[in-house]
Amino acid sequence: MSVSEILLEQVVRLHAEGQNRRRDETEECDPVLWAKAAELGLPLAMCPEEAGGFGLKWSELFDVLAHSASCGEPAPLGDTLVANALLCAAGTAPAERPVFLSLPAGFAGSDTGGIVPADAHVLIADGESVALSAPEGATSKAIAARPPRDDQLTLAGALLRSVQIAGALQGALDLSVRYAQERSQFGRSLSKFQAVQHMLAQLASEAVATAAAARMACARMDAGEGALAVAIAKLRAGRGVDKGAMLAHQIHGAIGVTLEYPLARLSRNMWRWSEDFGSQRHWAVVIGRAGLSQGAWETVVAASDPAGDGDDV
Amino acid sequence: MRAGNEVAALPPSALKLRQEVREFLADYATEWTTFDRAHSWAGVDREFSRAVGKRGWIGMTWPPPWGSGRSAFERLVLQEEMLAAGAPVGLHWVADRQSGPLILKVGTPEQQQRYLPGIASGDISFCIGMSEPNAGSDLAALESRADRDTGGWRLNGTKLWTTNAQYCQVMIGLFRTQGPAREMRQRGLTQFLIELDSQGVEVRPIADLNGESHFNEVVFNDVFVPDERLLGVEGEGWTQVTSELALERSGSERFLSAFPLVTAAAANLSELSEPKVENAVLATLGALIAETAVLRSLSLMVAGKLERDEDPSYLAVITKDLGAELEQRTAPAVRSLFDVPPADLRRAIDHTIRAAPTFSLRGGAREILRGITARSLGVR
Repeated sequence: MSVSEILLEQVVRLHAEGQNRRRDETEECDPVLWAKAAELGLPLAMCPEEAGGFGLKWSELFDVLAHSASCGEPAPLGDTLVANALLCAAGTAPAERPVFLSLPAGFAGSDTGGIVPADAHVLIADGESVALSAPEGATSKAIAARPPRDDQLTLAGALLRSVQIAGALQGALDLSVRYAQERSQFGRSLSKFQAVQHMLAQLASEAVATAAAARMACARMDAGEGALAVAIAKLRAGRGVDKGAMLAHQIHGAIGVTLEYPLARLSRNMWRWSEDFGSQRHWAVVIGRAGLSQGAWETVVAASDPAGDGDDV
Repeated sequence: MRAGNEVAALPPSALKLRQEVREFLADYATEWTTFDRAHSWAGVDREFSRAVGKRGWIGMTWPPPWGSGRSAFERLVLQEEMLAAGAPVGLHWVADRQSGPLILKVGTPEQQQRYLPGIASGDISFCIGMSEPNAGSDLAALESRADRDTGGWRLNGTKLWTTNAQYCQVMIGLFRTQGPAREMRQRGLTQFLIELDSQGVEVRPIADLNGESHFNEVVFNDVFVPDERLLGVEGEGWTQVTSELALERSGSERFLSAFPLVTAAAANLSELSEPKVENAVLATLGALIAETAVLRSLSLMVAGKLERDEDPSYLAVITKDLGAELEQRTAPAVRSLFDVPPADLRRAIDHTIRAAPTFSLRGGAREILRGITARSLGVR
């Protein structure tokens, strides 16, 4: 078993345990889960070995990041992992606390969003450079001595959100399939209605396409040529959210919009992630510009060709 | 969904082939209008098919002596370059994709010898005899019969929506060899290699709403087919057809049919004297390119699964469903990029809009595909 496979197995177990614990749905960092994940070394997974990490690549962490997101990202595992990768790459010590790449938001009447631990950090882009700060942005204090560059945070953040959205869509699909099988109306389970089956199929298509785009972007990022593929993955993820979240909620009916049902957390996360690190319009313009200068087909191939180091058969 | 969805890197041979194909296609650059290119794999050109055959690019994955045993990735690159350029591949497409592989898999040595060299040279074209007047999506309802006769079979019935039959020499047709349709359904079906110049075969082109004739009605009136033209195993037609459909649904033609419009639009916009193209226009163009790239990533995953002998049908069916949806919104989206499109592009857009309804019908209607996906999810 590889390091990433072992990590995945442990992360799956941690989340399964976490889901059996009673937890406040507005809490953005489950302290028990966080402590156990930190014990596994997960926050440092992308940092080099000399910094105490595993030196894993995006492709190797895809399943870990997606699985955590499919469980509602109960602690900022993906965010901290990527923040630390950026800090390490900039020659700075990784953070010892949970890091949010952007502040959770989405509750009516609340500016700060969900409940974030008082000692958490936020990685904030400030024009050209990036600083680790306390959650109250106003009193932000640069912690990193040599901060990572703004554009690196944008690219890594956009890729992370694409992978997480792919995971959340898969989570929403799993919940929807289960619910359609368990819930009965008109004397039969919802899954027996063709209209519901087709909604499930469309939701599956969104999850599969979003994951394919994100996987490709991981491969391109690992090869050091991620810009265009990440743009495409983030754009596709946004589209997946627009279509997928509505399908999952339509399948669930009213129970899906209650705070305690797990779909609510997945949707809230997806809608926020979709806006993080470049909206659909932002990335679509970037891709359109590439298409004009390089040609449409050349752009497609450049963005979706895994690096040419495959084996000849 | 986890294991086996990794993105496999293309081998160097495939990257080299891409350049060769682009150089080959460059010779036709001025010959084909955007309107021609918009016909994509419905385009018919015998000389072109022969030129492709001469390069060894039809049946390239087949083992020698029929082909050169090249990889599925090389074929993928060849096909997608042909489609992106809108090359008129219609006369060799079906045989290269499914008829040839089927003959290779279940055909007799005599059948292989009789048809494969002609397919590979671009001289022999195949059509698919599945749909009938009363058996469309419900293929198992088909009623065309093959009855025993001395030394062979007598065929009676009608096949419908048979693409390019008027240009093809051979049909692989699915006929009922046992019992009535209502009782037997998927059982008792058999595939035959039918040479379309046989006595009693009548091919009637059907004009479509574009004013062109791509599909046909093919009537069989007591057509004699000798025993040695029975393909595979008698009564096993359904299983054989199912494996054929997997090939029919997994290729790049399921999302690239309308792509020549995007290429032409990008080229036109980049030539505008005013270099600043509005952001809304760039965003629409970018979204079309992005969606195409995502489907290409998916089709690479499918190719990887085929190469590893894994079942690609879940990903293949989703690729086709999403691909048809993309193809159908491409023409209106490209139209929205211009106040007045250049005349040639305008003709291509109009053609594609009128051809678009078939994109989510051919090779399995959208509703059938979603049913298959639902079954994979365990809810059917």
